[in-house]
Amino acid sequence: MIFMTSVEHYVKTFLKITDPSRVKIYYDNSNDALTLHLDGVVYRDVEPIKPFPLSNPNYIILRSKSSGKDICIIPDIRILDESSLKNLEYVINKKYFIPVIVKINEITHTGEFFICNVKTDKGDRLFKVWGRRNVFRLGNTIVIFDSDENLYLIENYEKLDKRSKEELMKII
Amino acid sequence: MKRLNSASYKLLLLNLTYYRPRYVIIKFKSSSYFLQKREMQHKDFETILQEGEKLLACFESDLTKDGLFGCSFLIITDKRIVVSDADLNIKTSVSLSDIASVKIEDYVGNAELKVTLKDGSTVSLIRFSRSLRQKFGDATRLIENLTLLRKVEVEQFFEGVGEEKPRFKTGPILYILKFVTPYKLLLTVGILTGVLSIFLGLLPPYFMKMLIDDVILGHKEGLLSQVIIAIILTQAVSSLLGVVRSYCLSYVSLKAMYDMRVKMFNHIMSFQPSILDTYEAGRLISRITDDVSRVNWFLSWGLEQLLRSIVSLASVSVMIFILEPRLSLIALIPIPILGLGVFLFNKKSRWVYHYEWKRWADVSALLVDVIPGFPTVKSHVMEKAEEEKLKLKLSDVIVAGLRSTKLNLQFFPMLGFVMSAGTAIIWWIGGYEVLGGTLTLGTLSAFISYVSQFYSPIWNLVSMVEPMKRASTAGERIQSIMNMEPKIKDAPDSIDLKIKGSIVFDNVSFGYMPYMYVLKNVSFEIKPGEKIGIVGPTGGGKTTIVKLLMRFYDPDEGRILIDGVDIRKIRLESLRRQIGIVSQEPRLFNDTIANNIRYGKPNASPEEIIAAAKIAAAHDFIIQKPLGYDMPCGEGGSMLSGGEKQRIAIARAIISNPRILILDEATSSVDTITEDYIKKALDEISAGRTTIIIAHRLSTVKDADRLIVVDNGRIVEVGTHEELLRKNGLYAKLWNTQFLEKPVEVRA
Repeated sequence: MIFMTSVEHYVKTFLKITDPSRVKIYYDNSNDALTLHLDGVVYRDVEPIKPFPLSNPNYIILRSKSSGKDICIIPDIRILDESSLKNLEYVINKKYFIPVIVKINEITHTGEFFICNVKTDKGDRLFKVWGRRNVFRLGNTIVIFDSDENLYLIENYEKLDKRSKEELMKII
Repeated sequence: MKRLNSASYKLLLLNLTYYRPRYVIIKFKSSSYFLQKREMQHKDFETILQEGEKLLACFESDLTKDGLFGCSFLIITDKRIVVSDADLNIKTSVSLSDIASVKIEDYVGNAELKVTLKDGSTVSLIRFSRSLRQKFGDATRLIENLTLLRKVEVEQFFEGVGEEKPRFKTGPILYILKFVTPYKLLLTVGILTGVLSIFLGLLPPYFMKMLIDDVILGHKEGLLSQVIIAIILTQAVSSLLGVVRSYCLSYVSLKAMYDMRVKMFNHIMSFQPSILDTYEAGRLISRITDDVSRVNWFLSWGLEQLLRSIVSLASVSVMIFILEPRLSLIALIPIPILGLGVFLFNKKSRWVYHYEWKRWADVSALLVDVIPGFPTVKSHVMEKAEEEKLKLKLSDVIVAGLRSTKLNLQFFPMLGFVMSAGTAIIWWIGGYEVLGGTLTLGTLSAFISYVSQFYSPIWNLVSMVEPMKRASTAGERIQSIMNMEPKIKDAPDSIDLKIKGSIVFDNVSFGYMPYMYVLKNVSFEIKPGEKIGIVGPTGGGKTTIVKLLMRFYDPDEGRILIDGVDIRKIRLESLRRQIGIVSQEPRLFNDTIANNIRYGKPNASPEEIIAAAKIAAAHDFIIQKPLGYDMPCGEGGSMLSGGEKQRIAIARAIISNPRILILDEATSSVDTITEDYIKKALDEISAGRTTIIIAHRLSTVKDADRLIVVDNGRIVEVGTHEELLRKNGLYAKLWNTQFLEKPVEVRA
């Protein structure tokens, strides 16, 4: 049998997929960063990254800010202990500010762009979108990039109210 | 050596006939097959046979030996090859046992079949124009097999050869109707409600007659409200039936169009990429979108209108003949004229519509070509030139559109006039009869009302001719695509092969244009796990080797073996799933980065996606994107740089853990630092895996186990980097051109 390096082999050897029970995450107030305790090793200045923020939002990579290298992968952060999860989510929520649109009041079209008047889970918002090119449908999830590269998310198109759906039809 | 059996001949000769419909096939008792021109008989050829000799095949040429257009025959028997003129006078005869090799010499505008005999002499057998080049290529292979010159199974040469079928099994309308059969229940409801509303439509004129003759002139006041209520009820039920009818028919047509588009898409996807040599992408898109839309009218309204009109015509005819037979005969006068008009229109309209839609397809093809190439257009400041091209195509559309409009105007206004004149004549004659007291006013009013209902379906039928013609023409265009068969497809006895990785090209010749060879007699062997670099000047045939290995095309001659199995015997899916390829210009789809990587392995886990991206040096730039791996790539990967696209394509290729990895200029659009990084990663991933690297940048391939140098369709050198440098051939020349600086002459 010929030895062959495969992606599976790479996953087993190089990706540190970590059991959340082995992980402790602390919030370092002094430099607004996370500190990771993993198997007795302490990693400071750790940055959480969501590689799949829409399709798998609980999947996290923890990366060293200083070396720029991935430290470990946590496939599901919900299994972390309460305190670690809280610390992690605090930083994640800052890093990934993606308001979820819960209602669309109105979408108007003025020449080159659409003006969206929406209600999000973070409050009401008025923003501009440069046409359909900046609206992405991933199944029932819709991502909207506004003209200033802010992101808005519609988690489930089907769950929008009838009026919001009608307004959204103007742009998708 | 494998001797051909009769089944092999059968298949071979069957395939020969497939190319040329002007030949008929005759089965003989000996179970061999014989090709002949229609006017030739088997017994004619028997005259040239020697005792005990069996006729196997005959190929007719279009050139005489002197190079004049005319007939000559290449006759193949089980003992010899005979060339005769049109009168079957034997010009040349060669015994099969004397033949050492057979070949075709290609010339300009014609070619010649020659055999080399075992004594070393060469015999020119027959000349033919290039139109028959393929046919005589088949003859060559038949001779080769008869003389057992090559260990080849005949079937392999001809599998999957296909062309657009010349005839359709069913007419276009029947073909379209097949798509509504799964929804026949709803279709029946739609049609029945339509027919029911026709019968309801017969009532109001009768109520009108009652109103005039009985209520108004007969002074029966008590009947007034009953008649009015009956009229209102009739209209209400009719409207309700209309709603049911519209919904059912729309549903059926939308579902049928959906099925039609999906079926067409799947059918097109079953072809090899060379279908784009025949049909440009825009033209295929036009068939799936525009032509199917044109069929929509027929499915949603045309069919129902047709049946409604026929039923309506029949029922109203009965009513008017009961009401007033003499006037009914007058009402029939315009019908022969209408029939003649429709017949003439049908005759003229078919090609007018074909022509118009082909012009639309031209516009689609141009747009599909130019819009994705927008940056190229801009960078070459060719906006005006492209605009002119588009204007030209759109002008053709206008011309074609006006041509069909003119055709419509030649017929329909005239036919409309004929019908109006018919009504006027009835008023004229009927008016005299009312004045003369032989007809009541109510009967005339009801009759006129029925006559308008009589002419209405006739006019509907006449008006339907034009859209029916459009739908039928669109149906033909859809049918022509659906009747094509993929040239490359799985053989009935193809197998799933777990590939280990050995590759053999055995005397492979191939050309994209018939017999304009891009590869000529290419033979090489790659061992499992070997890393091979294929290098050479541009246009030498490097990428073609890969396309043949992926079985996007089949070789014209020779064969390709993987692990000793001819790739034509391996199931296409099995073959392609185990070959990972990163091409020069990778195509990404308008989906997320994760889904683009997952394209190589649909059930890949998030870890596998990340690992593949890391190996391809793509992970770091991906996680910098706002949505990471969930970031959309844009149409054709428009939201990513060339290097980013290339790295995602590499991740896509390696995620499926392919047994054979092909990198066709895969790192050509990344900078040297990134290339170095990818190279290291690929070194690891390619360990133990057969890897073919095609590169212009020779530094990319110099560490390969062996290098194959291809030039002008032939292999000119094989060896390691060091061996080839020592050889001081083409590779050394290319290397020196890239890496050795020319000494600078310094003048004092």
